[in-house]
Amino acid sequence: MKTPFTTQHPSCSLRRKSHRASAGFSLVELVIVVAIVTMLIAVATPYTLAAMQSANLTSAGDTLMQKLAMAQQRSLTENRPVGLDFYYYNLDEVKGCHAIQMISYDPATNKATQLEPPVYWSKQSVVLVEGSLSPMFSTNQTATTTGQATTNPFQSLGATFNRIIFYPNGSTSLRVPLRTAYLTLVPTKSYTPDIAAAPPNYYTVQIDPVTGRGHSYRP
Amino acid sequence: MKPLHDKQRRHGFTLIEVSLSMVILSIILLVSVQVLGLTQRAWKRGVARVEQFREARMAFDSITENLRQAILNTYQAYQYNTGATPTVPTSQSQSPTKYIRQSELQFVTGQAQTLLPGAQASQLVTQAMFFQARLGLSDRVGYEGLNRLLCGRGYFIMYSGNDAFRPQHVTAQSSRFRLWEYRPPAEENTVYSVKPGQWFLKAPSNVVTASETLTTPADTRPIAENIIALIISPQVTTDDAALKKTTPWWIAPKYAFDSTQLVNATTESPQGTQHMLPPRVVVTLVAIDEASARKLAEKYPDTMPQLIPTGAFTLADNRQKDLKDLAAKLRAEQLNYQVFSTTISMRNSKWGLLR
Repeated sequence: MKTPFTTQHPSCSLRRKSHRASAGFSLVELVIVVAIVTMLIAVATPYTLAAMQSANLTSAGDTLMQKLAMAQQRSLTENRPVGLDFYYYNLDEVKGCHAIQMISYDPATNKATQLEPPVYWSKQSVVLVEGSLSPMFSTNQTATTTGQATTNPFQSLGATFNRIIFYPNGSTSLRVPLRTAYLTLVPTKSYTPDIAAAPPNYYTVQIDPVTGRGHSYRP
Repeated sequence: MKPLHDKQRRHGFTLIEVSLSMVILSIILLVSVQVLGLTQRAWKRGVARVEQFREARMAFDSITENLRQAILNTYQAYQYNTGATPTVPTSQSQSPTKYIRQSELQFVTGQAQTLLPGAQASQLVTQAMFFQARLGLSDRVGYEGLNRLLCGRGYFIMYSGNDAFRPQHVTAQSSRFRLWEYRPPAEENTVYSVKPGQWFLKAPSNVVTASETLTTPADTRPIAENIIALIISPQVTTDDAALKKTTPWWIAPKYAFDSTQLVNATTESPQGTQHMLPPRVVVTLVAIDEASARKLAEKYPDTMPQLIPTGAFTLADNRQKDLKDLAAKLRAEQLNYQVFSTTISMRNSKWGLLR
């Protein structure tokens, strides 16, 4: 259907048409450009996401290493046992440790006092898995080093905790041989229930039960 | 002729314009790719540096912290004879000849292969050091509070694999130079029951094994990876050296110092440096990063890489030169390295008082 405007003023319409063709882009051109941009983004996205995930895993693992070193250092300088609590609970169908918190431990009263706000792994889309990738807490845990969480927000989440205590002389509360004293962080995306095989990217932290020294393993 | 129409039709680019812009674009791309590549390399190197050298730094801190606490508990006693037990009389009626300086503890530094001549000697590089200190270490539950118990302690570098202790899902075996800490608990301190120099002989064989159990944890533990040199130079203060018109390292010109040996004796000090803790100890640690170590492992897949130039670190006089040579060698191999060095004032050394 022709509009009354074009029928009444053909010259005006012609001029406008030619002007539009020289200054702007045609629909086809725009579609091609958008298609190319979309294709570029589609190609680049998986790589970018993988890089971001890997960076998140690295930063989470580095945080864990740093907290371990810091707990040991604090125990040495303050001359009292300082520990790290690992909180295990379900978060969006992902079972594992989602948060850690530094505590000071009083062996006389068996009481733990929070020293720092918790660090949440979910913020970096990673999880510290249980099972054969992290056998450190699976044997020889005592009443002081594992149990139901007694502080919020973890108590209300029904979390259980596992604890490492660093003593001022450099030793730890861990009662496992070095070869099984490790924990593994994996991206939440590679998490599967009862994960047993190492995913393509992981951050394993080994803690020497005797010296308290941490060492990281990456693929 | 329609000039207006011609002008209107010329809204595309000419070939020259397009090719010019292509050239400019490719130059920009080329430059940015190169800059990106450089940035990425620098970033990777930086991360490896921070990551890797954090472990080395922590190990270095723990060495210096523990070494500072080394003690000998030297005392003056009657001398009855000149044998292995000079302070023990042969009979009740024997009279002493004079006072001597005496100690049952030992502070010893020297070439690792000389100090630890066991089966692992060929895997040891540079130097080792063993001493006694009140480190309060005990395996017995409930002894955690006894933080002044006397313990032996030692450090050395050994090249070996990590089969015995690496996590199961980590498949890559890695033979590396590792800094090992010999840390027997107080109840295993055998310094009183054996001859000097024997209480640490089992250090390299008592490393973490695949059969390590809870009740008998290995006494020798890895504390840092990719440490390629540990250099320990016992010295006196520069003032002392100036007074004697000699170098500060005259007490250990070949890096070897053993507090149980009667050496450096003169007429005015007949016991020399026996049973004395050196007032200063210069500790130097050379670390490389994991990326460099991987490169080395690829280059020398089955043998221990020889990074220390032959004959280096045998004479304290050449310490600076040897360090420079080692740095040059590491640079030639394109390895990323860092040198940690500090002078420790030994807290329990009574150097001036005992002379």
